[in-house]
Amino acid sequence: MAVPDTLFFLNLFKAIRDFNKDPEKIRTTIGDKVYFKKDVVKLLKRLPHFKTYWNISNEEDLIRKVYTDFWVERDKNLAFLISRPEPILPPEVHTETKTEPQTQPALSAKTIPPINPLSLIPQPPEVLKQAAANTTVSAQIKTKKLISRIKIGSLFSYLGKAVFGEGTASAAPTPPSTSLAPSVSPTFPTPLPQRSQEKAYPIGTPAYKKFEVPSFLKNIASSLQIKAGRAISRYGRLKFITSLVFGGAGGGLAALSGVSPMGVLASSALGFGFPNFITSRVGGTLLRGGGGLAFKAGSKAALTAAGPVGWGIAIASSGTLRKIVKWVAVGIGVFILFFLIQNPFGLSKGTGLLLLPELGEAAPIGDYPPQGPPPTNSSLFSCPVAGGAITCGSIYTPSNSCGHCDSSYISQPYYANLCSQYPYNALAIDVGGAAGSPVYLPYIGQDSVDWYYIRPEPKSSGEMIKGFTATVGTTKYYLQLHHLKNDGSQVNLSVPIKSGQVAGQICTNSDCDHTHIQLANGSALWQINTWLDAGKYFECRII
Amino acid sequence: MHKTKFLVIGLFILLVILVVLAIRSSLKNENNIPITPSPTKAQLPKFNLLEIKPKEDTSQSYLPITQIEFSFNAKVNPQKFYYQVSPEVKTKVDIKPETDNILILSPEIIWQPGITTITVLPHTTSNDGKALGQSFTYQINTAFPKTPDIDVHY
Repeated sequence: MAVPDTLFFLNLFKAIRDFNKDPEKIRTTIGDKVYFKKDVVKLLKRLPHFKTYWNISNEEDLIRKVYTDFWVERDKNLAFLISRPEPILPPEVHTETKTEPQTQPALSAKTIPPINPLSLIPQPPEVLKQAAANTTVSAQIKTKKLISRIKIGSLFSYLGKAVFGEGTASAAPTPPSTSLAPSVSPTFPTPLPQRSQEKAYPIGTPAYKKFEVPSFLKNIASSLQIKAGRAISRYGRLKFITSLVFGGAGGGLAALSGVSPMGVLASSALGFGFPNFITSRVGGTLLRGGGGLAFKAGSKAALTAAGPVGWGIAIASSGTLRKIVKWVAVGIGVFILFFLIQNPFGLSKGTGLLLLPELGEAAPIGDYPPQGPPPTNSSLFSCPVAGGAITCGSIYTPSNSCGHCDSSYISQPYYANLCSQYPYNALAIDVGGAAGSPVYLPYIGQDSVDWYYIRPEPKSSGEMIKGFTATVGTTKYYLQLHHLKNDGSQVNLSVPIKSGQVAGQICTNSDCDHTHIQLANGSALWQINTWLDAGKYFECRII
Repeated sequence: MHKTKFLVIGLFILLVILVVLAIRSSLKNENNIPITPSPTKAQLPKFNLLEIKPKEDTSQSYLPITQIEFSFNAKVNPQKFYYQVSPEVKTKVDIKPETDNILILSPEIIWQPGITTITVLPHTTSNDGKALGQSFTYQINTAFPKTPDIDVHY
C-alpha cells in the first residue's frame, strides 16, 4: 500500500495555511474565472489517490481528514513524515484514477457510502472526550471554512485527475550508530538497514533541518532576495545624493569663507558621501550582508552628513576670526558625533567608512529557514527490533494492511472487547521478530539515552510486559513492551540501561512472532493514560 | 562683505543646529515611553499560582511518569520554587520551554504509585521578588495502566 510522501504533505500544509490566511495568495481571479497557482494544482491533483488510500469516498471528508489529522497536529506529523520512506505509488492506481472524469463536481454524492474514519476509533474515556471537544469543534469550523473556500471556482475540476508529481526523496534520520553504544552494550546482530534513497545526516542533526525545501519556495525566496537587494541599492544611492548635497553645502560655505571649495568637497562629500555610495553599491551587488549594511549606513546618513559640514568649515577656516569659526564648527561636529549619534566608536557601521560588508550581517533571506516553527518533537525512536517491520500499525498509522482497533481488527468480537477495555491499544504497534530474538531499548533522536526499568509485569501465559522510562530535555517517556519472555527480572531504579542494550527477548510460546509496543509521555494532555501514536514515533519499517 | 559672510555662516550654523535638534526630537518621540505612575502597594498584583495541570482529581489515576505543570501569574525561576513531596521521591523542576511563568515538576524516575502530595511552599518567589505568601497542596494519584492478561496475542 502506498504511503503519502513527506514533500507532498509539507507542500500541502503550506498551501492550506496560505489558503486559510489569504486565499488570494494561491489563486488569481481573471474575469469570472479563478486560477490556482501551478504548485497548488499539482498538489490537488494528487489528492484523489489519498482518498483511495484512506478509503474516503468524498472530497469533503478527504479535506477534513487532511486538515484535522495532518494540519491540526502538524508539528507531530511533520516529525513523523520526515522520517518516512519514499512512497511507492503503484502504477495501477494511477491508471485507475485517470479514468475518472476530469470535471468532477466538487462534492458529488457517490454510490459508496461515506466512511467517517473517526467512527472507527474506539470510544475514549469521558475525560478524553471532553478535552478533545474544543479542538474538534474548532477544527470543524476551520474545516468548514476551508471547504467553502475551496468550492470556489474550478478547483475541483482538478480533483478528478490523479496525476502523480515527481516525488522527491524525503530525508530520514540515519539509523542509530552502534558506535554510540557503550562498550558493555551489545551491538545490533545485523546493522539496521539503510533505507534506499536516504540522505545521510550527521548524528544529532535536528529533524527539521533534514527536509528539502521545495524548489518553488527557493525560487520565491531567491526572487525576493534580488528585489530586496535592488531596493537597498536604490536606497543607498539616494542617501549618497543626500550626503553629497550636505557635503557640497559645507564645501560651498567653506568657499565663502575663503578656502578652496574642492578641498572641502573632497574632505566632506568624498569623505562621507562617497563611501556611503560605494558601500551601498557593494551591498546592492552582494545583495546580502552588504545590503543590510548599506541600509544601516543610509539610515544614519542624514545625521552623519551634518558632521562634515562642521569639519569642512573647520578645515577651511584660518585667521583669528576663522579660528573662532573653526572651533565652533569643531564643537558642533563633536556635539553631533558624540551626543546625537552617540556612536563615536562605531563609525564603521554608521558612516559608511567601512567599504566591505561584515560577514554574517543582516543576511537572513538566503538562508532558507524552514517555513513555520520547527517540529516540536524531533525525537524519533529507533526500532527496538533490529531490522524490524511493523506487522500491525496503529489505528492512525496502519502497516501491513492492519491497524490496531481499526474496523478489520475489531471485526472479531474478542478484539473489539479488547479495544473497548484498553482503548490505548489503538495507538500501539506490533513489530515482527522471531521468538527469542532480542528487543533493544531505542535511541531517541539518534541519541543514546538512559532508560530505567520501572515495571516488570509477569503474565500467566509465561510472558512478561516490561515498562521503561527515559527523559529527553523536559519530556519524560514511558515505553511498554509486551509479549516478552518472562526472565524474572526486577525493577531497577538505580542503574540506568543505555539505548541499544537488550530490554528482553520476544516470548517463545506459540504465536510469539512480535512485540507489541506502546509509548506515552508525561506531559501531553494529562489525560488518563495519554498514549502517543507509536506508529509515528518508531523508525520500524512500514510494510 | 565679511559681515555678510559671518551672517550667512552664523545663520547656516543656526539652521544646522535647528535641523539636528528637530531630528533628535522626532527620534526621541518615537521611542517615547509613556510615564505611568508607579502603583501603590494596594495596586501591586500578588504573586499567585494560577493553575496546576493535570487537574487535581485523585479518583483518576495517571501514569507514574506524569509531569506536573504549575502556572504562575509572574515570571518564575526554578531555583526559587520551594515545595515538598510526600512520599518522598527525587524530583526536578524545569521551566516550560518558550514560557517564563510555567514550571514543570517531574519525578526523576517515577512517582511512587498511589497518592503523592505536593505542597508548594509560601516562600516560593517570583523573579521580581514577590513571595507566594501561602502554601498550596496538590495531590495526584498514579498507577501503571492495566494490561490484558490473555493468551491470545494482540
